[in-house]
Amino acid sequence: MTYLSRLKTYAVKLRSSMYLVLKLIAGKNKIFATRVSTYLTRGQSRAPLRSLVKKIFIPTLAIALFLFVITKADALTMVNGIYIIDAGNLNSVAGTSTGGNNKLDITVGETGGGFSSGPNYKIRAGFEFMHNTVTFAFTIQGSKIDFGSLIAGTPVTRTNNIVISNGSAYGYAVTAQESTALRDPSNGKFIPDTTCDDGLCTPTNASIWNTPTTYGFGYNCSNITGTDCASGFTNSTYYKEFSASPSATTVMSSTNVGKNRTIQITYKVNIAPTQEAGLYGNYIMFIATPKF
Amino acid sequence: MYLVFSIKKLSAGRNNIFADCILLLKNRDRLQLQSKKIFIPTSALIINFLFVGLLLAFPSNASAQTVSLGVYPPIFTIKTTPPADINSPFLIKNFTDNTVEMTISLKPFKSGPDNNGELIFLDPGQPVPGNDPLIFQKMHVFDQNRSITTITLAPQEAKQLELRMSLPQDEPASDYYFTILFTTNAIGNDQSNVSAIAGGIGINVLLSIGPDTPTTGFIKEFSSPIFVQKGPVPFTVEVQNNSTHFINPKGTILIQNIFGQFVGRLGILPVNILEHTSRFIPDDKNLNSTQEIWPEKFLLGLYKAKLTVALSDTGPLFTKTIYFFALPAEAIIAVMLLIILSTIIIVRVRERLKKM
Repeated sequence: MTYLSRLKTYAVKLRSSMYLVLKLIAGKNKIFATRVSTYLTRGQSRAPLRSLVKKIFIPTLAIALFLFVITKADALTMVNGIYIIDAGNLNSVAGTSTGGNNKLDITVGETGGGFSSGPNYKIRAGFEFMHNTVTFAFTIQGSKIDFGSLIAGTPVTRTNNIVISNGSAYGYAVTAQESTALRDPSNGKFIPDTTCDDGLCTPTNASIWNTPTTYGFGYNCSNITGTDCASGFTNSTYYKEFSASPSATTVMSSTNVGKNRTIQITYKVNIAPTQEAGLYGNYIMFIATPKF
Repeated sequence: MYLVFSIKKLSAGRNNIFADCILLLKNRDRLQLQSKKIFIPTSALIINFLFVGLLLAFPSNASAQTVSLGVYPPIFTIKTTPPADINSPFLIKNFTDNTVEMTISLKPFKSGPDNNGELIFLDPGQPVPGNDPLIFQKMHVFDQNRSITTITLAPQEAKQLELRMSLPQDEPASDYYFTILFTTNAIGNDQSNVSAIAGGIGINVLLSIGPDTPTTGFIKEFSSPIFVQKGPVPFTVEVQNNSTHFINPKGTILIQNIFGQFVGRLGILPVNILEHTSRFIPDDKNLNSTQEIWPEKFLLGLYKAKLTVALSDTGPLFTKTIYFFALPAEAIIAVMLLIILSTIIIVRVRERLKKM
């Protein structure tokens, strides 16, 4: 058989297969009859039935299965500093709410929020429109910011990451607050919060802090995954003060539904030559809450 | 097993690993460890030596410095008419390899200033909003049958807790919005200049104590750009809730073209709107926005968009209609330029043909 004739045979077979697939897509189930009629009308030599099944029917069936039997895989990823855990869902808690003559069943890991109703109460667990039972997860990678020895006029920066997975919540916010400015408990002296180079930065307003003669303590926020940093942090030179407790300022928020949305917080401290020697410290609290 | 043995040696503070390895190489034919005979090939020892070296050269971050918590569900909405004993389970999980101690508190909140569902905690000194200032004394977090205010979770432990509340017959009608807040305890340091970081995670609870009162409110804003060149078209929907309880409004935006044909439909997301507040509402397909987004790309002519909102399952119903005009100006300018260019070419060719 010449190369040309072999090519023609392949072309005819391919056309025949395609025709069958199209027929199948159109919802016509008379595959065998169609195949035979196609062969007859193409004027091909009448192949034995077994050969036809092998060469046409099985490949066609395979293509059809490939086209129509599409599997969907859902998974979530939980991450901390050490592990990445992939899982379909948690499916790790189930319980019954009770009240009067009523019951509420919740099973974490199944689709849909828990709902119950009775003569004297109704409870909905989770968001009605969120078909996801992933935990609302919050990670702080690095929970001790050690500035080491501080030298006047030499700024020290340290970083840590904050990660949010809010698959089951519609949006979220992370707020921050400090117990006090950096303080030496032995003498009660403070390293004040920075007001930045122009004296304008506050807990809600970011400003440039680049000059080594500007002193204080503040933070910068930069996006690692997503764009969830609070507004104002144009680049890495922009800083804000932390809010003093009990007030809190949003440092990270989103209306997005996502996982592993990550920001990096850069803590910066720079002391004046007049700063008294001592060991300064404070507590900073980050709180993650879903939207309501 | 040998790897484990080496690591045990390492953790015991012995730094003469190389000497250990040489010794093992010498006695590799028969090494008796824990009464078992182990044959160790030279290649395994070399790989192990490299492994230990890498461990020493690249130490990983200390896991003690990570806080990782998860909760489910993220929200409860409870509507009740007293008397009622309500018991709602939820999950808290520690994702780290460290034991974590947490304090549990119930913190009331209000709607944030952006009207997008973000919350603001009330300061501790502020009075509890609502008709019962002692409401939080009637609810507690339980671990099995024990009321708790602190919890310790082992590494990777998930624990099911319950929010239980017992409301007497004479409990006044009111709404209460609060967060079940889990906060870790920061670890300070008096050896250096340190900011100690603590983390907290919350589950929101919207509690509405009846009997039901009428649902009132209105469409505060329904707008879109008056003129657009192409889609998608953003609609801003803001609904005001004037009721004394939270609501879940439902509704749609129907879009008609200049011929009156329905060309688009957007469902509004049934978000919670707290009492006497308003909220911007996104559409039910696009959760990543505070706006309703009509994704149609090619638009031409006058369009009419009609918003219908039901503030509750029993109404009231509100409608509002707006119009916007779409003209793909860039495409039209490009076509006109093409026509002008073609006309010039045709005219010039004709002139040349006439001259010939």
